[in-house]
Amino acid sequence: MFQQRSRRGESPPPFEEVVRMYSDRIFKLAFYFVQDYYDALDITQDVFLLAYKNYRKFRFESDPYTWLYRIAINRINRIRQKEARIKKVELSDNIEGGENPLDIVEKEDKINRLNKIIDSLPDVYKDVIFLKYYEGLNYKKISNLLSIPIGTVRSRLARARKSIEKMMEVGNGL
Amino acid sequence: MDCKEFRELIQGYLDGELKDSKKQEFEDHLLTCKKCREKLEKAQMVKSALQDRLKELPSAAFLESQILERIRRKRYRLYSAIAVAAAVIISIAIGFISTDMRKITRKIETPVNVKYVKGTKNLENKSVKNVKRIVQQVEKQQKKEISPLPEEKAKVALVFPQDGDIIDEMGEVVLYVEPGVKKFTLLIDGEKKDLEMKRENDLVFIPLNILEDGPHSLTIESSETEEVIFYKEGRG
Repeated sequence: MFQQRSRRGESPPPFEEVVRMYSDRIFKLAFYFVQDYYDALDITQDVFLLAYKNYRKFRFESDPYTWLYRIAINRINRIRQKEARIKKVELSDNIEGGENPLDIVEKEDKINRLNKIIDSLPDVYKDVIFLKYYEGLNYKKISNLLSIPIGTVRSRLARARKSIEKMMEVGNGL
Repeated sequence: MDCKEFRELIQGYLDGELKDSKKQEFEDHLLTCKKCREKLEKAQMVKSALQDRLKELPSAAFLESQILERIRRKRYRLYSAIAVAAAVIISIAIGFISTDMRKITRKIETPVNVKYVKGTKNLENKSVKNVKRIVQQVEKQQKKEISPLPEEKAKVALVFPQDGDIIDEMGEVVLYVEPGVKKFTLLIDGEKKDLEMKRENDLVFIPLNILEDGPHSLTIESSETEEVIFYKEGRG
């Protein structure tokens, strides 16, 4: 819709329209990664604030979601890096060390099991899972969005699926 | 098609990415091989479980209005700064009229478009010479389209922080980098930081890692963006 407007030479829509169209999708993306309602809310607000500041520069030649997604992933990574640092400090106080993802899976009830499994996957797998199975994008679009070859999209999805299959086997299925 | 090829194609089949001819071969093999059928069923189960879980991602209440409110607050902060700056300048202008300094007064007759003025905080105690300099800055500022993102010339433009912004412990510089720019230099508190673009991107995020509270300065070399003064959280 936005790109069509740009092609017709029309001026960009009011920013409120961008917020209306994409805020829920960006919130869900943030929640998917951080698994915390308020962190996801903060990230979403930050993303749109930054997007607002830069709105005049956006030429609407590409899908605004691509643009917002990249800003969001950057914010999410910053939060996660900070959390990882905190966790590292916590772990150094705990002689037991971290748990194997498979052990964690064993402990969880069935309802949360898949969420925990997804959460234990590396971010590169989580990215493609979200874009494929939530956003429903095809490989070409995912490849553009993440700046990776189409073959890599496929192989990451396949590896993610196989890892999930393995972990679910340990947990005796869904 | 053999079992090995079949298994390599499972992902593409699941995601509807196989060409028609390959899809046909895949489905033909499916009819003849029980083991491969089981593999595909397992894969399909994972796919639908993932889709089901992702459908359950929550929505945030009043999300749109919260975002728009935050943007409005940000605008309000800017406009408050404009109002304060304009008020200070007008009051100084009135002071100058009374002391017959018409030359300077003329320069500040129309401060309407002033978006911010550096150093207006302590204007009252400035000498006439300094006030004149500040007024010239205002005038210069008015002539430009006032924006943190200069339109034409800037290859690297600063999005955040802007003058007067407060950063937290995770504060970072956000830059708009035009395609084609390979290298540029940031000056943070006078210290040079050379940056090289690994790939083309419209927005670049650079962690500041500033620990000390109080004011800090930031400049981009060979850019239209002027020096900005921002603050580390904890000021005042």
